[in-house]
Amino acid sequence: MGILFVLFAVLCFSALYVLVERSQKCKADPMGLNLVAFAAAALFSVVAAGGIRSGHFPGLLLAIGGIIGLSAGLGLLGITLAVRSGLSISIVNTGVSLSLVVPIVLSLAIYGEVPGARKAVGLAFAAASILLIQRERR
Amino acid sequence: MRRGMLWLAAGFVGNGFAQFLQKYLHAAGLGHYQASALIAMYATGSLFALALLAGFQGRLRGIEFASGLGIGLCSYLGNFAVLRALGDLPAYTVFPVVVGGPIILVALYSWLIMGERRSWQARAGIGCGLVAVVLLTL
Repeated sequence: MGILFVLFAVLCFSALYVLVERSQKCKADPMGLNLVAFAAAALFSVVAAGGIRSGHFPGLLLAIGGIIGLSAGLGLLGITLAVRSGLSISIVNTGVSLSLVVPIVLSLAIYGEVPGARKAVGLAFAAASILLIQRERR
Repeated sequence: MRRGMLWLAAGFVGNGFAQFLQKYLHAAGLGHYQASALIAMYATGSLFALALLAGFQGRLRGIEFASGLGIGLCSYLGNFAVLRALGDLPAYTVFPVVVGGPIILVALYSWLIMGERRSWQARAGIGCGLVAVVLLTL
């Protein structure tokens, strides 16, 4: 059953990029798109959680969740505007997927968590990928 | 194209910082409040998007509603499926497929359906990105 959920998640995240690309072909406003996407996801998550109870929202959770929301909001807006600027969704998707690097680098800087050999090679591939994507069309 | 790369960088940083903070949520002992964290994240993202919409005088028409609803649904269902999959499968199986899968599917969509022809740098960049994602999530 787990693998079906994995494949479903792959389809959902792929469809998300295709929808962003189609919306920008139709000249949808990125700000309006961002608002409806987040409001809809908020509504779905409230319904799935069976409503909102104040005891489920400690202050620290609200603070961290709020900053995650701001970061994710900037992330979706960046994706939409990058596609609108003419970048291919395959390039945008790859570039944004490489943001996996950020938690590893921040964990190294803040917690002193040194990545193992496999992650170090992964970081090298990520750097090569970013350089190659940047060089396209120069 | 340069502006597109800047927006892609914003998407990279925004998503990467959000992932790091999700890790911090677990480190702060709030990992079992996942449903509440999703609500807080999407609600704050909505407020951020509303402020941007008002500040930059964005538009809300049928195309923004239709596309935004689809994007919000894909985002929520994708995250929900990942959480359910993690209940059955180890993270080292789930994340390489969930992050790497859309890179392949979206690249195939761009190539086979949109008929895009990428330079060798872009193709190599996507390939390196896929390898990086698998190595970083294993």
